[in-house]
Amino acid sequence: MPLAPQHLPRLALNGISYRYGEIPAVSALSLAIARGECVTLLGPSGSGKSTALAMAAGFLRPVSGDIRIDGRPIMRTPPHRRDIGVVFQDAQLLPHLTVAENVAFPLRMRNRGRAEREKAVREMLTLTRLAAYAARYPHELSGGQAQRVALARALVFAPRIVLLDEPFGALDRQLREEMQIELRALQRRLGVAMLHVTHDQDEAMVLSDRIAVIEDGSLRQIGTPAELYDTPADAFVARFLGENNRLPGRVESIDEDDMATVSLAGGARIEAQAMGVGPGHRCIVAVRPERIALAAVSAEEMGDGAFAAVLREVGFRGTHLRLVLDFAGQTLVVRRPAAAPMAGLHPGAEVAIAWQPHHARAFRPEAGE
Amino acid sequence: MSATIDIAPGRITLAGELDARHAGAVWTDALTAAAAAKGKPLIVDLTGVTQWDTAGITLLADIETVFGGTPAYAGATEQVRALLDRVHDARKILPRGGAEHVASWWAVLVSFLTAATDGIAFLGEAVLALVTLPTRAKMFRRQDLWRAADQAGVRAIPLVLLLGVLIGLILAFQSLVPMRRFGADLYVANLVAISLIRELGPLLAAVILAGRSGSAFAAEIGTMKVNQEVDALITMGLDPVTMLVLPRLLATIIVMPALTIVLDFAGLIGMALVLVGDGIPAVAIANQIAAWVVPGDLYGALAKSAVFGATIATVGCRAGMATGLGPEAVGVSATRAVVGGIVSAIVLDGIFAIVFYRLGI
Repeated sequence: MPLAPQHLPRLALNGISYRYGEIPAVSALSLAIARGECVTLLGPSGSGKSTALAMAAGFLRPVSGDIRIDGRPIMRTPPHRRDIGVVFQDAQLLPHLTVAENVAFPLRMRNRGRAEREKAVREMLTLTRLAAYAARYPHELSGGQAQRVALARALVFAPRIVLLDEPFGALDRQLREEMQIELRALQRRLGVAMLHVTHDQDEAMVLSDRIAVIEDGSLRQIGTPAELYDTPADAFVARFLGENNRLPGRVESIDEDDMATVSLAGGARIEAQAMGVGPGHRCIVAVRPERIALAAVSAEEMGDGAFAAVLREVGFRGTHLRLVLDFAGQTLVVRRPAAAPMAGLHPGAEVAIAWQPHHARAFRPEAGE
Repeated sequence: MSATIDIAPGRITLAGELDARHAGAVWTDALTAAAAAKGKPLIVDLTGVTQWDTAGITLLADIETVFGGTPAYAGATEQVRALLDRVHDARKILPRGGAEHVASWWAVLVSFLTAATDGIAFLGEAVLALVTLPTRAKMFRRQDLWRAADQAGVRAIPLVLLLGVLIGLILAFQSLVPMRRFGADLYVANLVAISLIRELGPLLAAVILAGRSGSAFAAEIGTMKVNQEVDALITMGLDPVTMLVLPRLLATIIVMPALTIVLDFAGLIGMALVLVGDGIPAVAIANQIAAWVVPGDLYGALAKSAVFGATIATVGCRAGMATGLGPEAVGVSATRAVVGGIVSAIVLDGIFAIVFYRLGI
């Protein structure tokens, strides 16, 4: 039985692929975005995320696969009939129109009545805190304001989904963070579905219900920000999302709970969750800096599973301290709250470190490692 | 130490340093042995290899190509396997082989035909946009038309004047020397006037237009494409052909005949300077031109120049709209616009020559 429309994904990308000449940009990418959900395509530059978005918007035609909005195939529908709002990295406002006219523009193109247009524009300008700028022209706006107008223009006609291509890439850091929070609140309030593309992992974490990590045109992992951060599926995701320590080693054995015993390159033996590795394989053990406990004592004093390390650098980062250690011939980063006691922790100090085995994950090395 | 090879039936043993300096020494032997082993089991023993770089890995990949499959590798470390995978990946992107030349000729033909059909389709799209313009009149901005006409026409006039005078001077000077031997100095006026008005005027104006404006159109639209401005227009339901292409196309159709007249005029002045300097009275030159150049010469040339203008604008705008990704894409589009514009103007000129000849114009 076919699904009722409200249960169908708002936007479904079904195995879409695209090639620039001979070079594959996106390979069989599948992704479904529910109503009211914000999904971020996160990947390094050149990973194919903007190409995927361009296909969803209709600027590029996939060489294979299928795209649906509310279950309706839209591959043959031109971009302006797909009922999507798009926000680009630059605001792309029409320079000869005022802010209010720019926001009203999609409604005019859709032949909405004057009264309806004015009401919708007024509401949207209030929501995006632009009411005071309604009569200004684009060249009289700051970058952040212009981008807010672009956002208002993408939302004003209540599209089925809004596509955002690195929308805050051109803004400075502080403004970017403000706009991220504002956009997230707006998205929740309006309940609009969004597909957002960025290479900025912090932005992805703030904005998204789910993040899809993409590399070399294929999906590596999709999940909530917490899932991706705590349980990355492979070495690329572990490296790309948040800071991670990466210790090369070789798997000695794996027990029935999938815990691997790994001998690290520097000689130490540790336990780690096996992620697709088998006995004898080379592996990369990933441990988050904040998961590592550290004390200015000897490893024996700290207890079982503790290792000795030498503190090399102490960096102050406002909310936390970033400690760099030499551990078994490798560099290890540890993060501690700035308020934690620092007695005995100075560069050159011998310290003990430990972590829970389930916080360490042994991955297959990435290609070329 | 260098690279060594030991060949036994079903086994190739490589040892030593398989790097860029030494791998060459064993290359031919290894490939011959691999070719001989084709269709039979083959073991490539790498246990004794002490040093690798991509040259060694490429040797293995070549062995695989000649052998027609993957042999069993003995003593290959994981690094070697990982490098081999990368070489395989690279070869998928850049296929090599004996069919390369055939493929490239075929590719040239296909790309030429694709470009030609794309161009015609694009021209069709522009004509369609022009015909249906009344339904989208609001999208067509007259300011853009006048701006393009100013850029392509008015601002080109100093250059057209300069080149016109120089071409007239050169043609007159070059023809004067041989013509004088026959006492036909005065007929230089006919020669230069007819060749300028019928052929060189429209063609040189087309070359100037392609160089100045065809490339500018490609660069302007290409930059808009790269900055996603064209995509933004499309999402808003605005037709980029009506908004960006039509004003430029109409502007060149308007300015090209004017530029041609300016160039012809400047050329005649240049010619007159040489002939007057040679002692021929200006009135004689004027009479000579009036007697030999018929209005049909000029009308035909003006019609031709309008077609050249439309073609150059189409090629330029098409190159801009087809701009790819990356920082060099706009430059590539601009080059394509100039080359394509000049080539198509000359090809069209040839076609016009045949048509005019048949029609007796």
